[in-house]
Amino acid sequence: MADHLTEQEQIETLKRWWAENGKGIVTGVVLALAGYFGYQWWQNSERAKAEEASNLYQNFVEAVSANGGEPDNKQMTTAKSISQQLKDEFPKGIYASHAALRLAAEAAEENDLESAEKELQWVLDNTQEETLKLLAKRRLAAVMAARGKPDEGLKLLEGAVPSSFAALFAETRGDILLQKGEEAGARAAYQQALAQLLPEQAESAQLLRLKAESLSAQDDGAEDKSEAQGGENEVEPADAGAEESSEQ
Amino acid sequence: MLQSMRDNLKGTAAIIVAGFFGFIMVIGGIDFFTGASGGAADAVAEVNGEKITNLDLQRAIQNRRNMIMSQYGENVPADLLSDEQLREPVLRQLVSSSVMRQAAQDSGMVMSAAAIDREIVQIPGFQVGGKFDAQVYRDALRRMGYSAVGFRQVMERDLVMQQYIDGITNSAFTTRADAERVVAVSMEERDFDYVILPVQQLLDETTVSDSEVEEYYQDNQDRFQRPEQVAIEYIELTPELFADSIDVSEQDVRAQYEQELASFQAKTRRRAAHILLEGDNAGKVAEVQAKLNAGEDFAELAKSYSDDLGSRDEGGDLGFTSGDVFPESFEEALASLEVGQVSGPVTTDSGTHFIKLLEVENAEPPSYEERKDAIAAQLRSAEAEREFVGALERLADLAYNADTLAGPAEELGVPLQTSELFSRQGGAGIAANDKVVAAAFAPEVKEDGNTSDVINLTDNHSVVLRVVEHKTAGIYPLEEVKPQIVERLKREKASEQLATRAKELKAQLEEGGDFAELAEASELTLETSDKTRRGGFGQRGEIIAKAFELPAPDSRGERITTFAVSDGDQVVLKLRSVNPGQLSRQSSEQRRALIQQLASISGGAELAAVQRYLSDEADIELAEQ
Repeated sequence: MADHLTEQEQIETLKRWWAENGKGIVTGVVLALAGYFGYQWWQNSERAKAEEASNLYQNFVEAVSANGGEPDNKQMTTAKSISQQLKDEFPKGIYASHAALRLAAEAAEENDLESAEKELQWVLDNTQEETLKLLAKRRLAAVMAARGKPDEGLKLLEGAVPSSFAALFAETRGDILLQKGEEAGARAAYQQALAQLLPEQAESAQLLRLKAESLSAQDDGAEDKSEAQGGENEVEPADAGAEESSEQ
Repeated sequence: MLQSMRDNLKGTAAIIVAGFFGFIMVIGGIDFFTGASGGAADAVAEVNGEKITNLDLQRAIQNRRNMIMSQYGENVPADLLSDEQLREPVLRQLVSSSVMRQAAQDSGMVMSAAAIDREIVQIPGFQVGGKFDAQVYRDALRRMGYSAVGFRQVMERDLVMQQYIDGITNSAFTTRADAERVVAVSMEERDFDYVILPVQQLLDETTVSDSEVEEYYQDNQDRFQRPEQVAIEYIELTPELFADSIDVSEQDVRAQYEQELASFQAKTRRRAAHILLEGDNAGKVAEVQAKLNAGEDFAELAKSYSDDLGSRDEGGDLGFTSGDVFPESFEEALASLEVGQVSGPVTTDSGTHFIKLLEVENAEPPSYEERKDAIAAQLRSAEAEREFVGALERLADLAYNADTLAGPAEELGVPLQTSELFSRQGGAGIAANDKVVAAAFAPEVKEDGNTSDVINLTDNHSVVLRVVEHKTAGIYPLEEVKPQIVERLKREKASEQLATRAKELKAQLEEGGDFAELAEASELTLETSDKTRRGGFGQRGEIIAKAFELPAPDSRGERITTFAVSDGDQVVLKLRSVNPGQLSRQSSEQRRALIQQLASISGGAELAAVQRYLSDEADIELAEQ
């Protein structure tokens, strides 16, 4: 088409086209650029914020682990104020939750159960991480029971639990039931914990077995079973193992 | 801080981190690609879309191998370190740490550049003399195939994973109440008395009829399963086998001694000092030469002129050389000097040296008497080694297709040995060796009666074997197991008989009889066990376990029980008192240690739960091998 137009006419057409569409195009380009740089800026500022929280958390851990894990009062004050700062500025961030979990442990070690409960409750209310929620629940239940509120503790442990956490929850339930004097229930809970223990949790098995066994002894108190125990054990000859290798 | 974090590492986390840092330390000179199957970049697994490559896997296997070796020394059986053995556990660990790493990063954990730097400078593999060295760092990265940016990313990932793990394990705790409950049980002490009624004294008067034995045999066939077994004859070769018959003549010993003497003298050691002038600066050379000629102190001149930073403050001292430490022209000049003398300018690639001979060390050669026994032993073992190698080659030929190994053994003048029957589980003597068992049970050896290949158990220990007896799996015939059945039934019968006496004793006790008197009347020894804790081994362990199963004595009085232990002895036991353990009775250190231990067990279990939870949620795909 352009072949039939004179140069003048072509310029005119371009000018008209620009008058109609120019504004839109400029706006589009500006918007796209703004969007791109805005996104970049947003990403950088998110990263900067995350790094700030990370640095705060590292300072926190340094304070709370000082003197080989025995921080003095000043270091504890520092740790607490950093933790507060994390809670205020990054309440939904992972680091605020981790700091609160650690402060709860420090408090529990000092038998300051009220503070421990407060910190764990904060984690439960604020964390976005399902794993931390599960951990906090279990720990909070133990602390509540220790504070003389076993039923509130048990309530926390109710409801569906992922199979990975089943043994942990059952063990804590056993501890609380035992505290309440419900020995049969406690024993059942310990046995459930043993049954649902993960292979990687073998270290806990011995302790669980000990707790369960001590209860089976206590619980049999009502009826004397010892009568039945005599002579019923299967007797094995001293060289029982020889059968398999007799021909060697 | 991070040091203390690392001190707290446990289990998997420690392995991951140690593996990573260990990897950096041992990286030099390892060819990762040896033994790798498939391409380096092929994925062996995918975790939420993130690939674990064959290269990653090979690196991790190599790390694990190095870790095992540095922990247990060189004596680890080779098949424990093989790719096949390590592949699966290492891959599982890679997948699980990949899951953790992603979880840490997804949760929003990051590391600032400064924090990463702080960690990098602390890695021993990047240090020289305890200080971070940028050149060493760059070289190491290049060897590992990382760019600086790539390596920092890897560091960040690993550091946040560590943060994530520590956040869980280091925040675990145990409440005082829980600790008290654990101590009450674990440190519980019980006081009890018991007598053992030994089954042994009844065995002789107990009889068992053939029909009883037959019945037991028929009813318990599963107890008499015999595994497949073989017996072998074998020729075992070691250099020691030949050492005894080797005579070493005094002439040979003398000749060897003369040789030692000659090479000993060649080993004169000279201690050199130098002043190094780098480059081509004739003026400086002349200046130093002039000052030396004027008799100025060599050490002082070295201090002010030498370009060798390593030696100039030590007066140019370079230590000892046996003639092969420095460049040839340097060594020649040094060898021509008298002690204390300084050479003229000597040129090497480094520049111009003035060399001073500080000291000559001519150690006294040992006398013939001192050396002759050692030399004779050396010669004998070298000769034995040669004969061993020769015999080994001949053995391979002789044993191949031989109907029996007696011929080859005679030919080589070594003994032919035989083994007892053994199963795939192995047996005594030579059959304890896995390689021997595997060779004996190989189909062509076990079934076709062929001789095995020469099996090299170690560099100096080889075996050839042939199966001489092969028993398929089955049930032991009654005759063979009869003595055991008789023994067993006798014990059961005698034990039952004893149980009646034990119950009588128990009844008498419950009627208020005195345990000591009753025991004495029955010619039994009363054992008193006070403040007994859980645990123990053997019969005593069984008795303690029973004592702890009993409920605590209550208002109705003591608890008395009878039971049989596993060898048939009967026990009458009276539990007198139960004392729960008390946390407050422990010293404060013990208390702290106990609470820490409980917290650490709890933290470990919680970490395992988190890891499992994340793995359950993750999308994990393993490539077919």
